[in-house]
Amino acid sequence: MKSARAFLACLLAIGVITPASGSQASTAAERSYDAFCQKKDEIERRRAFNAMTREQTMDIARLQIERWRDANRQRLTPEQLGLLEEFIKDGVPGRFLTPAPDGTKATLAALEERLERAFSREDLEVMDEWPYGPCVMKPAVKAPRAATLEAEAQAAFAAYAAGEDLAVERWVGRVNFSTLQRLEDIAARPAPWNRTRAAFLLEIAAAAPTYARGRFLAAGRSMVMARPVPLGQDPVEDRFEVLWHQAALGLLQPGSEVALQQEYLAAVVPRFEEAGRRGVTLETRLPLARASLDAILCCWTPVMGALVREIPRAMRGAATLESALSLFERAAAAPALRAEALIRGAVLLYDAGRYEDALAWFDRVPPYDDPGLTYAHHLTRGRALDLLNRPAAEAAAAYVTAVEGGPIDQRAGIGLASALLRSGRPEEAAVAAAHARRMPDRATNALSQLQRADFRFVPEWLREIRRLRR
Amino acid sequence: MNAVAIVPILLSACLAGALSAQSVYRAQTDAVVITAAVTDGRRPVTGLTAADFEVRDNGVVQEIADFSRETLPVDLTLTIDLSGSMKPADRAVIERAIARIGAALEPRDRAGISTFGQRIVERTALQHPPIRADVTGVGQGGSAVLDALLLSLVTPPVSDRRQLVIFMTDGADTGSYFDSRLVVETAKYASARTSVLLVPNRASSRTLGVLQAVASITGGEMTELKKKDELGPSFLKALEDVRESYVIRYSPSGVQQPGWHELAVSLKSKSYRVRARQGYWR
Repeated sequence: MKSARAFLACLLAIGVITPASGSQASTAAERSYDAFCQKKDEIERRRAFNAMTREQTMDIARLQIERWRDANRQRLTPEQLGLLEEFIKDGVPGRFLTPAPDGTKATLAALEERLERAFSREDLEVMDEWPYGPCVMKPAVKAPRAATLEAEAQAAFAAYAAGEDLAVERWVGRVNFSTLQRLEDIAARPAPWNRTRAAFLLEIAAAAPTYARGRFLAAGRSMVMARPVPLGQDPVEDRFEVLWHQAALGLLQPGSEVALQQEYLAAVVPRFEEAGRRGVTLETRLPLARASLDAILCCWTPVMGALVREIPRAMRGAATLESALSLFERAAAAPALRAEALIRGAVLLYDAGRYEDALAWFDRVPPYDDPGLTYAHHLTRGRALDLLNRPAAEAAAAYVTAVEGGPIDQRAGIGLASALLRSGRPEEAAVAAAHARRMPDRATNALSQLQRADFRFVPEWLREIRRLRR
Repeated sequence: MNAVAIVPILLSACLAGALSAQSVYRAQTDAVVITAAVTDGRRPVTGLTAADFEVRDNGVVQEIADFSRETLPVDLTLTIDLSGSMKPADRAVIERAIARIGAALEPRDRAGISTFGQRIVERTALQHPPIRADVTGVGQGGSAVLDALLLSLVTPPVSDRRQLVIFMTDGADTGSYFDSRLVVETAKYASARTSVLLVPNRASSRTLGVLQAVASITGGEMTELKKKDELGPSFLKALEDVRESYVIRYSPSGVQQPGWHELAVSLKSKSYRVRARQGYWR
């Protein structure tokens, strides 16, 4: 407990926090923006964003850039300020109005190129990652609240160390954006290895909004990797470390935090490779995480109307479709990863328009038991069969399995209804169509489970980490 | 009995009972049933006889075995775009239009209402009037026009009712999963006539092409509204159009090969406009 207090004393030597001010009158756009920024999970944000009208999304996107500009005005050059004005005027409508006004695409591309030249990668990320990245709150009156935050954090840590599993989640759930920023600064300071501390940092990251997880995870990773006993000598600590890294990557994956994933894997993979050279083989999901990241880097494209972030060209590096496929093949060599690696590779091939190859990869998938994969696997297979003009009955069979695997997503049901009709089974088609129509509104997009990757395992891994934390 | 249906050798007694004595048709082989709308450009043309029509199946002239202007009940499916591109102010217009078409339905007709944005939601299952117009949630999210169109093409295969799908959209598709080729292909198997009402917006030419193709294949038509206030009258026109259609039955002769059969329905001497589905699969 003493060391924990020392850790917290170090952790919580904080400065001044900035509570959000409610004293100033807000515009409708500001209220929408602030309400939107209260959403911590990316999925929640996506839903909230999709529920807005185009004009609303455009207004709050514009507000984000304006606030960021105002917050950084002191350090921006006149050229940068001018570019931002252009971006606010032309770029934002180009991005958020669909279909874009005539000629906007070319204007936007040229503007983005100039922005890439004029701003640092970090600056661009703030602009590009929004609405999943950090929001910029209105400048507020600063008030010294160090003691309060310290006391709160101490209480949360003490409760967590004493075995209260949800203490961190409850605490972080109440913390406002400004406080979280302060906490990030504190967490970034180096601290000695201790499983409870490492777990505490992971819990903070898990409870924080997607965009705010990076620094907590980086700090925790450094602590975990600095543990004095090398990999291969203490099975419990090895297991803890593997779970920690996997959970950390899982927390970064739903938001496609590409740079953070890159950085994370670059730091961790050599450590496990070095252990491998010493004959220490640990079963991890890192090979799959590498392949999935490469797939994003090589082939992630923005979808019209759907809000996905673009990957800045500079970050794509040497990743290609073939390099990603090669990494999936390598991951598939591990029996525990084989099914998922082949499914992800097949979906990548499907997205690239290589439907025959996608089917060949699907054919190699061994039996598996992972509901998170079943839907995407069979929906994509059904579509590939349809696109190759294979008999509709084959596609229908694939869609049936997808419907069973993703009972709250509509697309497999639509595909099934169409395939059954084309197979000369109109009565069954009508039943499938009726079922699809009656699926609940606002149902989960089951295909997005594939994009969320290892995020689906994080709760389970966190439970095990909690057991191992003491 | 809208559009084309492949009628089995023995129609059920129930089905036969539902048809008027004149119109009951018992084929010795599978029969093809076509619903043909004839207009003078604006209004339906009535009073035509079988002798006025010519039907070609894969280019081969067919003998019309049964012909009528049946007063069969209508199964109407309204599929309405409520995506973010539709303004909240449109809601009242849509509700008024639904109320108008609801009032025009006969007691034995049935109607169902689905709406869509990114997802398709059944608001009212197929039921006899009165129908309720619940279009809450207007103006939300993206729009999966092709997905909604694909789903609306799949209707229960009924032989004793005319089927009409009215598909209202602004054509601005921002998130469909399915592709246009699949939608057009599926339309060839659809039993309902699809009438597309396009409200003013900026639809992509690709989506417009699919909407037009589906309307043509199924014997419906696409109407571009100049103002949203035209929605109610357009709903009624589509309903009247299907009620006033002629029902033509024939047993295919000289065209037994399986696959897509191209249909051409025309008038032998009169210069009216004839609209019927473009073909069928067998």
